Amino acid sequence: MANPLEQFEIKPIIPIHTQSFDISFSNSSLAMVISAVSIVLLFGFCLRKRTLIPNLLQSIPEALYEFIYNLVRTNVGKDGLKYFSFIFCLFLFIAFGNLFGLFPYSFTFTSHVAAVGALSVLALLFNIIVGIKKKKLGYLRTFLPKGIPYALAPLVVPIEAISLISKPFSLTVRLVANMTVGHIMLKILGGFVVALGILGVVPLFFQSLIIIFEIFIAILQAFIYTVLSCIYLGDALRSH
Amino acid sequence: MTKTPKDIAAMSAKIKAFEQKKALKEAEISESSRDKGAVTGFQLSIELVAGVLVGAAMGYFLDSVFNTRPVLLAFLTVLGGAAGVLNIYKSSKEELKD
Repeated sequence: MANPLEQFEIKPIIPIHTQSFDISFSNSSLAMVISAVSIVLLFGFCLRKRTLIPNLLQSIPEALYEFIYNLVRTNVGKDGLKYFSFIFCLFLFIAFGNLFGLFPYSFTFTSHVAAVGALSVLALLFNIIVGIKKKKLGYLRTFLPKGIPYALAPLVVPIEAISLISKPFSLTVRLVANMTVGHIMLKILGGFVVALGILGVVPLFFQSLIIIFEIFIAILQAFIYTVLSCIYLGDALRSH
Repeated sequence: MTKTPKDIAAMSAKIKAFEQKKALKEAEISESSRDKGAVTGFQLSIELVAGVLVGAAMGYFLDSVFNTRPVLLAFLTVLGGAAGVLNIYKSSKEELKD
């Protein structure tokens, strides 16, 4: 049976080495480029004839747009609509990355901590910058909420700091673990199909069910990631 | 006027049937919300682990900066657990709001 972890290997396609970094264009970068380009192409294609009353093609991006718009409005609030484009891009990029990874011979960049972690750190920086911009020095209140005696500061400040930093970490782990586990399961079942010969029909049946489930998981995890980063951003805007 | 008791009987039968239906529906809802609760619980368990791990990593890093191994590692790992509980508390507060 083929090694189920082989699919997560990053292989350089165009090797680029600077003095201290390896910034090769890898299969992971290719997957990211393909998902980004396919988003642009899909939206460009669906929105090429813009009418007031949308036809079927135009309603796809509009439904997505409205869905995320409502999500931002309920979870971040009216103030958060300024950052709608960031969250919309985040959702589309992760959803397309997850879905694109389900094609055979493709690569799931969302199964790598490096890729998703970078997005989560972006959300963390975004949170901090927006918070500081909105509340100036009052942002430091995040680390010592009102009503807590100053004597407890040495305990509460590190706890709040770890809480702030561990959120992007748990966001990353949640998405990465879900994608990795799903793909390993698919690969192992696929190995059974080949190894069992004619009896491989049984795992093939389960394989097809799990593929449907994985499509669902791919969209659900992108959604959960988006909701949690929305709440995360909302925390920075709302807390006084 | 003789009809009244019959009407009332029919009405009470109707009410009973409706209440039974309602109870059934409520049981269904609570079952599905229990499933949802299991999912939420699993999601939150990651939060708990993440807090401890991030705390430990921060402690390890700060120890190598200040050369105080293993004081900060031990201290921040424990605080990381507290931060994990705090995160769960925050997100459950968010959940209870809706």
